[in-house]
Amino acid sequence: MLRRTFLGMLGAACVGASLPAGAEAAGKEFKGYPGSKGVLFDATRCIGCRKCEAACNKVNKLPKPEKSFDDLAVLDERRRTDAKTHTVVNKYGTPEHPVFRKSQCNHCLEPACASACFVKAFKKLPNGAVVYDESVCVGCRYCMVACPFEIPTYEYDEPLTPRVMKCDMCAARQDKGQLPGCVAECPKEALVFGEREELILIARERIRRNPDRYVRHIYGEDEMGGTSWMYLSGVPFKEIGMREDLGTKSAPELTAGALAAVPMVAGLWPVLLGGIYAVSKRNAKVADEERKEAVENAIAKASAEAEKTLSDALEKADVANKRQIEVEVKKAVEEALKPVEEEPEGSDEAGNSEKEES
Amino acid sequence: MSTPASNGPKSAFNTFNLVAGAILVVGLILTVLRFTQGIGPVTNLDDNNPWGIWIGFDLLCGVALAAGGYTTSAACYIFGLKRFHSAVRPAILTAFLGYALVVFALQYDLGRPWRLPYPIFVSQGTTSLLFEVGLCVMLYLTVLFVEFTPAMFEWLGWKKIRKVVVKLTLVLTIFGVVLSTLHQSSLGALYTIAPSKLHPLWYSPYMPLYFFVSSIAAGMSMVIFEGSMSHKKLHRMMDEEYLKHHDGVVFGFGKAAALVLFGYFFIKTMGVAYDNNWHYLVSGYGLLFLTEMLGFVALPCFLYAVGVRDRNLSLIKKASIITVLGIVFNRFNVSMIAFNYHLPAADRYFPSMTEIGISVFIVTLGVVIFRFITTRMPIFFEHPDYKGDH
Amino acid sequence: MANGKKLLRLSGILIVLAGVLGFHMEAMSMVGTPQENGNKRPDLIMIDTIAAQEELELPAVVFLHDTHTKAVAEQGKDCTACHQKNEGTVSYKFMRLEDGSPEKLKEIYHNGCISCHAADAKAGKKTGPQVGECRSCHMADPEIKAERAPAGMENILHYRHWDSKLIAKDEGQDTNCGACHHVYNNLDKKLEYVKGQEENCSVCHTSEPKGAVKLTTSEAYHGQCVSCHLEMQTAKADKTGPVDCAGCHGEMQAADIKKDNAAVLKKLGNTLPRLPRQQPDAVLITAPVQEKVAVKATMAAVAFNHKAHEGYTDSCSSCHHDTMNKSCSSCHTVRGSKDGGFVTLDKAMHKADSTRSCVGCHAVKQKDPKCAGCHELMPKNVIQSEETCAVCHNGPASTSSEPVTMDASAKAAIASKLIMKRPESPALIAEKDIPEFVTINVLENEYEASKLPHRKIIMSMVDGMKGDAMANAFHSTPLTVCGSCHHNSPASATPPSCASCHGGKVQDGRPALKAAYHGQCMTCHDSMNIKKPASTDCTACHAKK
Repeated sequence: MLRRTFLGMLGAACVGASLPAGAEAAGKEFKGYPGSKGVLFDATRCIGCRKCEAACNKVNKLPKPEKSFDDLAVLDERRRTDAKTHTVVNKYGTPEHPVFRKSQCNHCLEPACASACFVKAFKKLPNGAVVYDESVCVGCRYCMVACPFEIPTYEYDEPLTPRVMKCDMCAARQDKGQLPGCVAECPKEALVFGEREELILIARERIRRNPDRYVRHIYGEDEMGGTSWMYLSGVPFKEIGMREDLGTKSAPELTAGALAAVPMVAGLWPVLLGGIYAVSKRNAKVADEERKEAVENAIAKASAEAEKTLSDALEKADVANKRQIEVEVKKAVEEALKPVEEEPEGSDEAGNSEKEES
Repeated sequence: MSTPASNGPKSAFNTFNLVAGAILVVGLILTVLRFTQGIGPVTNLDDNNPWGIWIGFDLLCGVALAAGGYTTSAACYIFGLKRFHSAVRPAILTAFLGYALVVFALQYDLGRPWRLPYPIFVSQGTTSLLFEVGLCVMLYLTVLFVEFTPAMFEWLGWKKIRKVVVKLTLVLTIFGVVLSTLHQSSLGALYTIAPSKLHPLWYSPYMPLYFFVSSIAAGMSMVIFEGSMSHKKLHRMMDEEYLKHHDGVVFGFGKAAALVLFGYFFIKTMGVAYDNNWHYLVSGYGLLFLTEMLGFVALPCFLYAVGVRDRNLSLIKKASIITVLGIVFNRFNVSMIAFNYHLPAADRYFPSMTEIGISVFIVTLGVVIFRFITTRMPIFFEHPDYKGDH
Repeated sequence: MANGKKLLRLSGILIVLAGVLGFHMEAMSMVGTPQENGNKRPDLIMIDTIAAQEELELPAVVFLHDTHTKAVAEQGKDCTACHQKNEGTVSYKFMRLEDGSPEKLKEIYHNGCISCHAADAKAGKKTGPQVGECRSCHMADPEIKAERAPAGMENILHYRHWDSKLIAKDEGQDTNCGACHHVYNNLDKKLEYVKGQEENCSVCHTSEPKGAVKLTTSEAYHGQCVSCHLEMQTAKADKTGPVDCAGCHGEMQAADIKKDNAAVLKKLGNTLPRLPRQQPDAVLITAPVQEKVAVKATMAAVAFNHKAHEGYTDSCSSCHHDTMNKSCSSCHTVRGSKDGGFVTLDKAMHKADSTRSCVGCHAVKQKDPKCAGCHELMPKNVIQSEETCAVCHNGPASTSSEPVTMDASAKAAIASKLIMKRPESPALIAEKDIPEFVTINVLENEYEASKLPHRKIIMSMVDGMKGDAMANAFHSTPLTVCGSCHHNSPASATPPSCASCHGGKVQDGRPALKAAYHGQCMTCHDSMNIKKPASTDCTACHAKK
């Protein structure tokens, strides 16, 4: 029994040992790679020309859209990124004072998609970009569930080789020293590319110099643990379709608790369960022994009584005649043995009776 | 798994076989469609709603309802409640089939199903809760298979290997419970990454615990429900031993389920209090939440308790049905109804006929295989050669 | 199992129902929310007097004042039916002068309200709740919400009061300010009027009055305004102020008052007579002279045209926000003090996002589309150059350790002299020296060069400044007008080209050339409400190649 419990523990410990890597990553605060790049979007500067969308389409060699990028009427409806569009600009505010907001992957410092991916298809590069590797992607779409900004999209029409599609901050262009496509094309510098730390200073300076033009908040500085793509706006961020209730906890922090529990369960459960097994087994054994003892006692008592009856009878036989004695003795022995014969049967039954006990 | 609609398998062309056959044919057609057209055309999934009923029902409900395997074997082998012995095999079979079908159903939902082993063998994303789910489900499926093999070996008459496997029972059981604890809870933990998308009444950092505890209730209810179902339809396959203990198993699990449901109700309430979400209860979602909590947790808990006290078998069976439905309801709420609650109605998800069709197909497949196995292998009866060998 | 099936079906239906409900949450949440506007009233008063002393036993009482005023009037009674009189003014409180214990208050309200309701009911009239109908008054979640428009006393409404013939003149004066303005004389424990010392009501009547002051701000206002209006009504004056809640606080009625105000102002030729409080015409604002604080040198004094500014704002309190009888620097000291909320004199005068400071108020004026074209581009919280300081700070300054000490009249004389010297039109270099066109050819490989009508743009700006004293005063050098586009470099008639600072790349937050041009042109057009060309219409400025 002990050996079995030990084996069980060993087996569970193996699972435990293979899992806790996730728990290690949790708990510590990560504030981005030093010198990593980012983009600052300034909604007060965006004019909604869709040049960024066109540039994105071009540099990523995405399929041509139905309506040309010069058609600004599409801004009247709310759009989101899809498998053929890595970035969209939406129009908010009043017709007299429209406010435009570009949306694309925000390249979180600790990306929810990367933390959620069970094949490590997403990676945060030291240059700030969150990139996707389709060669390992299984297509489970947990990244899409996890992303708080609703950015990753999926090639639903692809029967066998669907990919998750999203902006990769033009990581390949960055390597060649080029700006991301959208940033390069923005005519109003509503998008500024640079070191994230630098961008935060620029953003603060803009707010400081024009306190009446900006909401005093840099969206993305702390949201979801911070993002590489950040936003400035003249109207509350809620009004330009950005959620203000995301909090500052990064995705890995949210799942850290559940992941940290894994090795604990794997380690503790076998001990507990083994213990319970041992205790219940022991209880059953003790109960068995007690029953056995009770039965033995009963037998002993019955034999003693039988013997006593026998000796009593023998005493009486002294005064009775021999024949009578013989008859009496025989009778007494028979009487005494009767319960003894019955007892062994009873003990068997007791041994099996545990099944019926409830 | 579900309700087979037949009265007895006298002829190969009975109602059950006809209906099941039709469903299977339609399912095969849909399967062809899925793997030629892609997920897009056959489902209502989109970029906002990446997970539909194939995850919400097939995976979440499938795994929860297959929890009977570890609850029963734990009760029998670890807690030493020997009278559950006769219920272990059907439960293990259901669990094995359940998990096998979950994995099968995943093939439809995954973009590149043949890469399913990738997370374990090619690129391990250990920070992902889905990785934990995947690893545990894979290991547990193996454990369940090994646990099930004695029945198969008995059927085949391979005595030696059967003996070896039977000796491993305790280890396998403990291993199974550990794995089940981990992945049942991880399914709930999957959603802890998306506090902004799941309605606050359902979202909680304690979701892993909720999923684990509710899976125990689900497993036990499923054993009761499925037992009574089989009792009716597969009576002829059951031996005296099974029939003798059947009621005892029902009462035992009924009592336990009442306790677990009570505990579950309690921790869910604590969760609402912990996040101070009381004010949401008066909203429309609050109504939904109350329906779930009162109608599908508190009510069956009460029915179970009354049923056990009055030795009322049919009441317990009703309670088990409500609990099973309640688990389905809960998993639907978490994965679909209360998920993406912030989106405008036009962007919300509702499954397409094809999606439902595939799910029905998979359930039917499960029932057919269950019938195939139970009518042949020693599941509801003890093999005459191995009587009393436990 | 038949029952089981039934139960199964029932549960199925329940799930579907719940699911459908879940999906239509938006629609659900609409139900039960109160209709907009329909049940918002200015006269709703929540009676929760006891809450100040102990926790309420029942929810606060929903009381509609105007409904009661009307009902009382119909019965031929006046305010005294509910409110007691105290030395001529009607008490703000219900049927009492002083609050008593909670029990006492409860008794006053219950007896007062219910006895009247009962009497009405007996007389067969429609009336309010009776004994036992607790929840009709004590409503936990009343459907009606209070919404009051602020009843302001702007300059024009103020004028209508102090110009009114109906309000009695002060003793020995030809003004009537004493009808409202008073101070408390500590010696004879009486309210008295001191000419020239008129104050803001809220200086003494705060929300938590202290010392001898009894009434809160709202009690003071209502006591004063309503009792006076009532007196006028009994004196059968042909025009009196409102006596009901909606009269001042109703959305519509407030708009009516505004209309009347506008009509009066028009009659006066759009200029209000100055208040007869002997305000100064010109003030020389100097750094305060503090005893025992050695100051090496002070900032040059600022000449302030008080007379002109009186007409620019709606109320004296837009600058004199606390008291009329102290100078700004008595609270806003150079280093900041507790009395001034630690706002230093510098901040009090220059804070860009305060509407009370000079700079802040001027910034509001700069939002005018005529000005915004240039000013929107300019950073608000940044000191441009020493010349910009000197536009205002051009008075005398002490350069030694001796502070400038002058008497008030000497200061005023200097101030008015400085004000007189201010330009009456914006300074500008000779029109012919302004280049007529500027060709921008940065995007030459994509578009034709863009020809900017440089002179036309400048002249239209200067046109917009005509007749604006502030614009005239501030655009005081010939190159000031140039400074918003040709920024950050020393003012010059031949400024460096844009490309000398704005390169091909963003640097230190300084835009690249293309963005610099677009930023200037589009921001200016946008803020001046110039709709054409649209910012997104590339070819309107750059002809296609």
